[in-house]
Amino acid sequence: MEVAKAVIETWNARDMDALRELYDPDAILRMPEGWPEPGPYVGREAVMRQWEQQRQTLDPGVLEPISDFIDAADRVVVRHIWRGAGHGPEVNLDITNVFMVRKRRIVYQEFFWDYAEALETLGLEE
Amino acid sequence: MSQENVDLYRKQFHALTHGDWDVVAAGLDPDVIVRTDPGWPEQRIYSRQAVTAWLRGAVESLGPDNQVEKLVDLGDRVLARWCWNTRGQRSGIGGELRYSEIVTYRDGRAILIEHFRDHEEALKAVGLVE
Repeated sequence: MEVAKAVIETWNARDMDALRELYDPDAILRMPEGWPEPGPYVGREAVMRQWEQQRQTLDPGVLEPISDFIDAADRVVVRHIWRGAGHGPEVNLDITNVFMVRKRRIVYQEFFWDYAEALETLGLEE
Repeated sequence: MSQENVDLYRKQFHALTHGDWDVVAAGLDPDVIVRTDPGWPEQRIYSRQAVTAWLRGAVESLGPDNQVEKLVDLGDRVLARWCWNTRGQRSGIGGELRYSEIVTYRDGRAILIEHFRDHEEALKAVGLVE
């Protein structure tokens, strides 16, 4: 759970070096269905390139958790609002983040638009 | 859903050991990723085509005598322990290879396959042992 919380903290602090350290070298990132660049992104460098791009697009891009961090064995679920302004209209994405952590690093990260769907997928209840 | 994934795993495993590569491929997401054990030569294999080719190469090299010893239903994931009685198809040299794998499914297809040489590591990974 600490790793998932650290992702939110480092992103909000714009500390991309610290964020990078939270990912396994072979980390995988899957964006939610319908995302413009769906990926998946394979490998830490690809994941970080995607985040750098998102930071430029959504800058300042702040993540505000709106659920508890739910610990489900090696996975952590958190729903958050992703706020950004960037170069276009203000964006407020309600999105759920699922982290899979091995040896204190993220090996797999997956997004869902629907919080209930994410919980159901992981066999959890709201 | 979870029993479906167990059934799918069994179906895929049967196809793997019987050389039915179309069935194997059909059970993989187009963007499936394999994360192998750190001791394995390749560390990750990406895409349905590459993973199918990798599995096919392994079976054609080591033979099809592979048995599932344990199968654990984990909801959207399946944990399996298998024992592969390998026999080099050219050399004829035999051996025994035990591996565990955690397969994550979405919409009836595998999206992530993780391999562990040590079963305890796999159990730990999914929180089944401390």
